[in-house]
Amino acid sequence: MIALELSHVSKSFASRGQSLEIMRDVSLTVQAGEFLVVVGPSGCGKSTLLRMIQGLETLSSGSVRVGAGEATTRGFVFQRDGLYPWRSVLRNVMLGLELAHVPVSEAKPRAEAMIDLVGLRGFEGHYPNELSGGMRQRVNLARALAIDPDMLLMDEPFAALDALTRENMQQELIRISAAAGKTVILITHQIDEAVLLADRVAVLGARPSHILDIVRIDLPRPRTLDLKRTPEFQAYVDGIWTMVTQAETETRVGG
Amino acid sequence: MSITTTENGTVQAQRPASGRRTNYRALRRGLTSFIILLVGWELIGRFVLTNQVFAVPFSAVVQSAIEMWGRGELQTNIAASLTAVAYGMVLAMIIGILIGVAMGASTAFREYVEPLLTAFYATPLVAMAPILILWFGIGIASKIAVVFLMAIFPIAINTSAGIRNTDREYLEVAYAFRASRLQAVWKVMIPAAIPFVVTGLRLAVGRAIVGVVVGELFGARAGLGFLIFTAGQTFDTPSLFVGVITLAFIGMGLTLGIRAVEDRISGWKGTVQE
Repeated sequence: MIALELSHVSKSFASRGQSLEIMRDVSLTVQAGEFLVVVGPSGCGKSTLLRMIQGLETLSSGSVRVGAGEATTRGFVFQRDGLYPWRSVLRNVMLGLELAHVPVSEAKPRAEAMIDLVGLRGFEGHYPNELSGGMRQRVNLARALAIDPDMLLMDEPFAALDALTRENMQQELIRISAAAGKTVILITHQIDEAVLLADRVAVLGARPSHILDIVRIDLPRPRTLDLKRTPEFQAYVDGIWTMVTQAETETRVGG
Repeated sequence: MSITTTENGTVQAQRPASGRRTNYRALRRGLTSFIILLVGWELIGRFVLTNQVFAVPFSAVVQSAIEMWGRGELQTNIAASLTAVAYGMVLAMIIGILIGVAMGASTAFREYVEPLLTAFYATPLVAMAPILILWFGIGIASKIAVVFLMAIFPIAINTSAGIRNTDREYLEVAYAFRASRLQAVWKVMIPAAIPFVVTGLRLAVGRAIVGVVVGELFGARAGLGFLIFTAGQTFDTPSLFVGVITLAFIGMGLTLGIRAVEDRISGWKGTVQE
């Protein structure tokens, strides 16, 4: 079943009276239950792509078709967690349910289950300013999972974390996404993160961004961090890295 | 007015490690200043300005206060003033916050209303007291009106600023979870504005006290302003100082109380300054 279909998506911004083309003719199909990672250099419009899927951004041309249309729920995990400092962890996780008018008697146990899933049991009553960066990202993820979305959209969720916490969170995400069985679209600029997590990696080239290639990652699941030391893993990373750097050099020469 | 936030949009409680000790030191220094003032006052009142109409030593003021308390006179007047402040502040809060939220949520409304509010905020509205007494008569209604007029503008202006300063990211999160416009105002903008509203309340309380006293000076039958006015007319200088010092305590108490709330909130939302 097709969960998401992007066809010929282009995007331009008006900037200082000029039209700035940031995305050109991106077509992509994601199957239900698939874990797709989009990688590309900084500023190539990866986040814009995700925001268009969520409906936070308009397209200039082309179309985005999401499974069952508007009925398809999408949980968004923000790069900067955007937790509400006046709400406890529990109430932050309940936000999406509350906005959808789900009664508290139903929302609370669901939020608690998600807090449990991301490994924050016992922190329900804490406030965001009492949590570390890694814990805040877990809440961010739990908040997205709480609405039981058909699709999880993750915008560089671990970019602001230190290397150790990031690896820890990658491992957690592997566990959680396997448990939750969602379609996941994750944006990152870290190639090893992409290879570790993805069923397929879509490689974007620099502005105007376009798809250079889509690489299927045939590595066994469940995956662990040990996988990063295997030659097969390295081969995937090197291949994608070469693609990205070549594209960057071309842009620089061309531009 | 400025709000300081870190790059991830939230601010940790930024208290130095030695915060508690610094507070005690500041408290000690503040108390020292008060003691020096009071001792100086006592000495000047006893030995320099000995005319009891122009100045009295601090001890005479304390004695007068004890007598007035014994007669129940001080309590009655405190209650009269505080009642007017309470009614005026509650009214100003309700209407001020409503106007502020409307201004924050609707640009058109703000552009109509903000110039007026700014003009009124800058006007010394205590000058309106005589006309308000003409309108509302001598008694609590005119005092409430003065307090209300003094207090509403800082509350409305701060609330509006708070709503408009809502972190874009917080709104983005709400809209990503399919919030309606009304939900965004109610669940995001208003809670995010609370620290600003509290700061507005603190500014308003100071002005409210000025308002009630001026109202009572111009025409009233009770209250601390009335007490001061009567004492002045009868050359009862000790009673006059009792009124002034009581007002200072009330003003300080209310301001410190609101500041304590502000400090607690600043743990979850930056530092708000006027």
